[in-house]
Amino acid sequence: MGFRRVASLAGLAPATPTRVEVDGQPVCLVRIGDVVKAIHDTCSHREWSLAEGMVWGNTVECDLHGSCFDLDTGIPTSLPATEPIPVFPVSIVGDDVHVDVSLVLNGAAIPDHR
Amino acid sequence: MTSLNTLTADDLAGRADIAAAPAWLRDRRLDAAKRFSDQAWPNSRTDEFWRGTRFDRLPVDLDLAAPAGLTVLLPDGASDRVVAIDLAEAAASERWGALVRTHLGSLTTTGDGSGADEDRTVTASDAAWTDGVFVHVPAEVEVGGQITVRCHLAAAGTHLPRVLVVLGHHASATVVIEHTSAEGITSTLVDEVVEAVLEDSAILDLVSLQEWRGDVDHLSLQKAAVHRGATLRHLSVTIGGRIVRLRPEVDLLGQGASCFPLGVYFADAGQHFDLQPTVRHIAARAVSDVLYKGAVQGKAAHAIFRGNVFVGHDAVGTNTNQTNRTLVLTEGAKADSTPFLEIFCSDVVAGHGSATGQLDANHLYYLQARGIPRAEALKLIVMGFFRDVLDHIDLPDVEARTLAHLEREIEVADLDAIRTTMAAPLAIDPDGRG
Amino acid sequence: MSQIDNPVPSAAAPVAAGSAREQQQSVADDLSSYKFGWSDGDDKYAFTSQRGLSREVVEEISRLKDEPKWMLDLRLRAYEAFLRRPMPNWGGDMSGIDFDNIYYFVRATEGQVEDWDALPPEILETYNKLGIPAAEQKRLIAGVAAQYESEVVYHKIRDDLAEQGVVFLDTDTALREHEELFRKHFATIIPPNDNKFAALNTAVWSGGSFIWVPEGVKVDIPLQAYFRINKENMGQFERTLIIAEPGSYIHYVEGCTAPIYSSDSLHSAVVEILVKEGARVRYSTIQNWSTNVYNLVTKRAVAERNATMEWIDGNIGSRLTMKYPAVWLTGEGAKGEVLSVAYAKDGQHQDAGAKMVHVAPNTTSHILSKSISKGAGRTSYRGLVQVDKGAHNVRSSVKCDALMLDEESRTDTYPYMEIESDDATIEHEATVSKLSDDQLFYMQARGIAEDDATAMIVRGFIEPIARELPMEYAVELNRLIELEMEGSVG
Repeated sequence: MGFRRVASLAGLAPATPTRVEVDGQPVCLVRIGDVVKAIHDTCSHREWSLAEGMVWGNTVECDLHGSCFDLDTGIPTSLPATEPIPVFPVSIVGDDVHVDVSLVLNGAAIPDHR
Repeated sequence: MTSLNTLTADDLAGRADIAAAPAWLRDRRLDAAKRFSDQAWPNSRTDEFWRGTRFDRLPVDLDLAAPAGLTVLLPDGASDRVVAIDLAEAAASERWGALVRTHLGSLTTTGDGSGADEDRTVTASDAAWTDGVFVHVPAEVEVGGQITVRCHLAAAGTHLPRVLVVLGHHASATVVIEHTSAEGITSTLVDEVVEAVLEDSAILDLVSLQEWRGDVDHLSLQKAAVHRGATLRHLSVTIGGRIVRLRPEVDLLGQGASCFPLGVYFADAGQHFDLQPTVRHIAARAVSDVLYKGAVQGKAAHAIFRGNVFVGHDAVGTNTNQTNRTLVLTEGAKADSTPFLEIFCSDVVAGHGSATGQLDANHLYYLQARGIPRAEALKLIVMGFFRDVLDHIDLPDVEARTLAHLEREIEVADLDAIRTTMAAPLAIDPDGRG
Repeated sequence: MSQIDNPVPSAAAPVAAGSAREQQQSVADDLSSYKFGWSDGDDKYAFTSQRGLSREVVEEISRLKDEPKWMLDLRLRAYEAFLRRPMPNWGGDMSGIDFDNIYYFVRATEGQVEDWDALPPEILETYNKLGIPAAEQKRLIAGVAAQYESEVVYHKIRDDLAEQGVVFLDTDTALREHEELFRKHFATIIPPNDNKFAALNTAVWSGGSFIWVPEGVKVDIPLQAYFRINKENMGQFERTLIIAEPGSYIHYVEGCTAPIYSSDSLHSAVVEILVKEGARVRYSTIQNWSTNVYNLVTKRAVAERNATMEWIDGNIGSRLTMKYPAVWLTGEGAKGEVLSVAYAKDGQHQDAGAKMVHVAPNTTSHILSKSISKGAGRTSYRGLVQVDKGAHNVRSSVKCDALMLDEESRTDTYPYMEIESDDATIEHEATVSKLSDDQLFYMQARGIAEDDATAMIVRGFIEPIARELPMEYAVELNRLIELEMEGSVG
């Protein structure tokens, strides 16, 4: 495990969520200015991809029932979600965006809806 | 390579068994293929009945492989009174062709009562079933012993078995469908349809044993039309399989008809069982009583009970009940229960009850205090939990087989991980209703 | 002067993801550059009153209320979510809702009184039979619950509240006077994109109650909408927010049993309640809208550690009600309860129930639902009991009883139980029955007329819930049942 290249910085539109797969994990990338944030791409409330939703400020909204997840803490800002989702470290080298899913920055558990 | 996902009318036209079939059957299959191409796969977000099972988890891209391998065995002495032959053969035969033509697809395509089924997985079977069995018990023939249909998979891929059972008036029989697979088979999808027609006053015990080994995914519609005064007892025993979605459905079409859908299920780590017994009270004074009991243990074990009872406008004097009890034995296992009722007629007696919980700690203590070791005591309690469903099964072989499965389940259980509670009402049923 | 160029897309039409996303993104961009403050209002333009919903209508509502920019932005965001979301494919028949033909912006309460002449005669008849004096009847049309006749009493209650430090205002005023508190909690329990109708409400809300109860304060008398400063009490798109600080108690009562005629055909309210540690909130509702109304409501409470939330929900009126009061039990030891009564006669469908979500361990919930269908009325119980992983030692019980009075009556039960914890004890029981011929015969043999006997049976059937209501409501409810069972009304 370690950092994997997942996208080109130039190819990421600002404040637009993009879904990528890293080492078998779905990850939602959001570019804010020249910083890229990475959060696990499954809502903790129901099994739904966050990349289908909107970005509001520093949060990404799950389009199913509107819970917004803070891109730094992974914590939902409202119900119906109650649990945080994992936030991963991002490293940008030149135009390459790398994510490491083996390191969960906020100690949150990966949602398991099975 | 053809799979369910890529199935077209041309694929069917190219199949030898279909080309050789009588024109009516060929036409029906091609019509079904046309319908199939107009339909979309179920969407768990929008389709209420697929809410519990994510359709996109099912492997619809597997090769439509070799036939399922259906065989049928009759009890001694029955072969001269009961018909049990290959379905395609029956359809083409002079003797049985008309009967098959009348009943095959009557519950999925044409049918009175609840009419056509909209689910694409069922249309797939109507179009492309590969292996079939036809069982016919003529009027007034009572068959002792058990008619066994064996669905044994020897190869991976997609299988489409089809069973048609027709009982004439006042006939009675027991049909047991065994679903098994060879060691080491994975990547397999079984899309099965069983149709049963019970003419007036017929009695049928229909049993479906899901005893798959390994990662077999199983979708099955097992639908019966029960006419005047007839009785259906349906038992599903679900132990094996990776994703099993079973629809035991009954249309009570004749006055005074009755049905007793029974279920026993035990899901282990990684297994997903979605069981949807459905009863439609269409005629008056019919009786239905659904009793489903199960247990879940292990990480990501998931059992869903989805009971659907509809009581139509003319179903005066209906008496219906649904009961579901699930034991959640260990952490990480999940149980959902959704017993639905839709009633369009006021002159009914209807109820349902559902409970989910753990083993009763008092009961365990009682047994241990009498010198019974914990493992043995736990086993006794779990077997006790299933006792009343088993008591409803009048079939010694099936009962023994089911018991053996349950014992095996308990044996592999992590007994230390089994939780008990001081407050559970599930182990002993005070009102005797199960 | 700006113009409204394009017709508002009907809510059911799919919106191309690309263009909607672009619009939404511009709203999102605005938000990210948000500053705490008031809207500039430098883009004012003349706006003609019209039916239908559009971005301009939402902006106008916010402007008329002189709201801070963050509220306008939230409204617009909710509006886009409303357009984007499909209609629910479950529940009642909503095909009769004509989104383009509804007035969405604030209207004066007085306007309602003008509808007096358009009032259906049955409503007037009911008022008379219930013994409601003419003056009170006019106030009912204005949407004011007529519970206390004395202005003196009204003022005394307001003084008591002020002394205890309780804040009780209409939502518009609360936003102005308690902006920080408001902003902290608004839309955190029901976010703007929770469901289609919550999104609609968040976009066009107006009126409703805001209640803040300080720590340890227990308010003895049930608070009713009537006691708010602003008399706009029964709006279409009410937004209510209740915050009970630790150890406090409040009982809030919404609605009234007398039928309320509303020319507005769509009512979509949102109620958010936060019950903090050790506090208790009881929220009672009796809804009796006229039968042209679609009543689609989202009500949700959060109960924290050792808190108790009780919903008492009575659904008598409306053409279609879809309402599932919910309690999220997020703190250990929290308790949730829903007592629900639904009555449907010809042309009515009550699709109601409850949702209990057990997030924390050692929480309990109880749901009791009693429904009555008369004539061709349809009642549906729809409920959810969810136990999350890690929510240990949860106990929940649900009981739904349905009574069907006539051949054409219809009832459904849709209970969902989703259990992810291995030590939860969950029970659910439902029964459906019709009037017992034996019971009726027994009563008639004792000289009780059939209508009266039926009324007695129905009253007995709902008694466990009726007795939890404030006295006046219980009395009104019983009188209403008598009338209904007579068959001559409604």
